Amino acid sequence: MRNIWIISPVLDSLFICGGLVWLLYSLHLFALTQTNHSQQLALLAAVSNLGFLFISETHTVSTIFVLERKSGAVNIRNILIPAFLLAVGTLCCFISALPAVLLKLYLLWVPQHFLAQTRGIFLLYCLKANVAITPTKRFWLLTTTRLTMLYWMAVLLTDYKQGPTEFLMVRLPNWGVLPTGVASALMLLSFLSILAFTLSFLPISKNDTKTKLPPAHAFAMLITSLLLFLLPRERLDDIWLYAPAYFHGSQYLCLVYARIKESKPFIAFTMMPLALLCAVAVFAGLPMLISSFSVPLVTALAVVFCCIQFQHFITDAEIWKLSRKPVRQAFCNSVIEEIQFYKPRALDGSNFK
Amino acid sequence: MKEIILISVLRPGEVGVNNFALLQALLNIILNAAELTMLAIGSLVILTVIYKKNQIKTITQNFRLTSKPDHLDMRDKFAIFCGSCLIVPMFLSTMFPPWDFSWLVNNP
Repeated sequence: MRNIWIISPVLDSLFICGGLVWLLYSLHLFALTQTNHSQQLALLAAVSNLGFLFISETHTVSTIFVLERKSGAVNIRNILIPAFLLAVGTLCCFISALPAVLLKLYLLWVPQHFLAQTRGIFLLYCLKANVAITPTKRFWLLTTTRLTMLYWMAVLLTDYKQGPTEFLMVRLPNWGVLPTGVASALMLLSFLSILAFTLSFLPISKNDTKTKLPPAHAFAMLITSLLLFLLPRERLDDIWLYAPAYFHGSQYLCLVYARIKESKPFIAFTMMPLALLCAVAVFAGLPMLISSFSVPLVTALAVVFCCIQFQHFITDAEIWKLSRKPVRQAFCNSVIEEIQFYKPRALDGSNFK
Repeated sequence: MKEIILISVLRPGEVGVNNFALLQALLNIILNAAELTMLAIGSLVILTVIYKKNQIKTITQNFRLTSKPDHLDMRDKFAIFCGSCLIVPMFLSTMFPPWDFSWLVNNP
């Protein structure tokens, strides 16, 4: 029988498809219905904080476990990007207005990173289930996630008070450059594109053979990620207490584990403590080291946080491309299914590397 | 890990106020850097012993502890003991109030 899960049904449902985040959110809503809920909320806040510490932070640094050492060739991009980020980070320590700009850019980048990851996992689930994603479906999937991303960016660039005004104890700059209608229009377009994406799975004609649908858990994961940006603000505040760690971070750690369990079994088995060590070194060690040069600790923390996140975003965009054969091979053993899956674009030879 | 729990308890009213601002908890990693390092090294030592002794390939399919203590030699047992010693203080520090050494300073 074909294995349609990345790790196992239970782990996938909880940590990749959003089961845990909905469970915690349900507990949160249940706690709010109680008359005296301060203790329950305090416990949930502790769960959220611990998740941030042990899952979110570790997921950022666990990118290094996926990197492969290439013999010989030196990629100029691998040198330029860290050098650029290092230069930006150094500048931020001397120009007081720059950390706020960096944090604002980070917040604008977050939706793209979140949604690109879930889009990739959705395609991976389709690949594992041997569901063909035609160019039309792929187009609507891309449009849906892109519009949702643009909607959230528009929110951050419209009304200053709509988005977060302070982040990591740094007051964010007011970039309210867009009229209010833009965000509303993008939200409407996002919902319409979700509808179009759903309709793209319907058979075109009556004679058409029965279309094989993607697995239900893949849809659940995609819908969860879209709702994280499209729900009303008062709901988002609560659900985002858990989403970064128990949806996005846990997804990533599961993917890293699944990808390296064959090639690097020891690192895969001891991944969590190794990642925690790296996270402490990077997110605690570096800011403390920088602050010893008379830079405020909060500034150092914000700068290191942003630079590491940017490096994580850029590296991820490169190393997780499903169009790369080694990536597909790490997740799927069968070769037939991948050819079938990529047939529409593979025919012109543009998709295989 | 005292600080994480304290921050949570001290701010129950603020829960859910600002979605992204929760990332301020990043400061916790600095406050607890020593304990987190001990936890990571301790669990790394224990997991390494388990991995070597059980020939584990994947967590989900093959994760089990050996039922025969004889499989663990003195060096393994010592490593597990050291790993546990590194992990336990973190949990103890969560359960009990932080140690107060102010009397050392106050006493002449």
